[in-house]
Amino acid sequence: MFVLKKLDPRLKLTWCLFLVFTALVSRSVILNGVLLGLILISELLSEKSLKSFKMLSILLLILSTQVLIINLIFGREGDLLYSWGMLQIYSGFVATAMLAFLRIGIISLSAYQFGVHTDPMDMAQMLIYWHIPYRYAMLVPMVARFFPVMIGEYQSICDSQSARGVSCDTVVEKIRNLPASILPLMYRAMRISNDAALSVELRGYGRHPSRNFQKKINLRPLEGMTIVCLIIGFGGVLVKTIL
Amino acid sequence: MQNEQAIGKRSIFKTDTKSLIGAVVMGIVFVIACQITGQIDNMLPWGKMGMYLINGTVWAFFTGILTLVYKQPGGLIAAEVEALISVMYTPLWVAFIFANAIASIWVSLVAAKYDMSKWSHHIIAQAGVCILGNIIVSVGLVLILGLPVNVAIVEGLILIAVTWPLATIATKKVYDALLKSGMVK
Repeated sequence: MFVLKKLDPRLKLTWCLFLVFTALVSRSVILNGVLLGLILISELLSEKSLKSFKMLSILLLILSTQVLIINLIFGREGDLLYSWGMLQIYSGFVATAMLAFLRIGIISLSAYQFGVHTDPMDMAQMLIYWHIPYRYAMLVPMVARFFPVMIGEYQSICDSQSARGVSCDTVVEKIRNLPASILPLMYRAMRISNDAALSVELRGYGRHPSRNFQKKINLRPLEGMTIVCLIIGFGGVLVKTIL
Repeated sequence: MQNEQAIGKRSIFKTDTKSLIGAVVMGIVFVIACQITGQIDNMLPWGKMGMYLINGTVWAFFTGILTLVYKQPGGLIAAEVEALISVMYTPLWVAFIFANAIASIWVSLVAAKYDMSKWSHHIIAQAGVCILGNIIVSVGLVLILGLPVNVAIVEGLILIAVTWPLATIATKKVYDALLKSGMVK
């Protein structure tokens, strides 16, 4: 059975980079459409649903609408369709906005897929495999460890400030009370980082040049061949675009 | 002359565990601040046109202050944490990776040459952050979002004009406060 989480992180990273670079290089709507379809199919095969893409898709739709409106007003590609004073609408805005929509989708969803389906410890091992000292490689799992902690801290600061009468409901209140929520978060972050640094030092962080992992990453021959195929595929797209 | 003598004495590197972990945790605070300000900008008229003025100011401020506090590679780590986590809410993460890295390195170079005690030092540091960062983001707007080049240039210029002075004031004030408190030596 095809499960994205079980694949080697190097293959997943190559897949993500292949999608991102191909989307940036190619100007073909069909190729970009196929790549976006591949991301969705791989997600469906692995997870049996597209639930993890829901929030990001809403954000991307809003962004795509903004891009469409900007291209409608300021786009100058194609033939002039309509003119009224300073407003001029050209026929090329639909194609440009469509390509941008597909590109935005591929770049965001591929990176999101890599982030969601790759264990932070696997990423750390991948970096160690590339000869990055483990003191630096282990910062990736630390980001994953501290992200929910800091979100919780921010929520508790907002609740405390609301109880003191400094609410953050409207836009004006959010702007006015931004320092009241961010500055305490910075102080808490400094306190947490001091405690965490001392704690990891006492456990021998960086004392030895290497460390052991419970689950080791292992690149299988089929995965290695897929990486080579992806690199060749990108080379083909690059050559086709240049020629 | 005094500044020239100081070159070489001020190291741009700080590799202790406290700096590395501090950079990671502050990088997450950087992400949270950028998300909040991004949401604020989205609700305002200029945000609907893609000009994230408050977000850009906060980005420039955090890039500057975190590099001054944690030096390198801490500044770079914090900046890249922000760029990589931004995958969750924007396709411009590709541009942010380069913009954040270049901005952080620029601040380090300025901090290695000057002692960051005068307004002019912070103006130079934030000039690089805002101009280089916004140029890269403008390239991203054209290549990734497919915006017309003239729109991207105008947006970039407005962003530089607004974020440069505001981020300079914020960085100078906070950096002086941190020096006074003894957190930065």
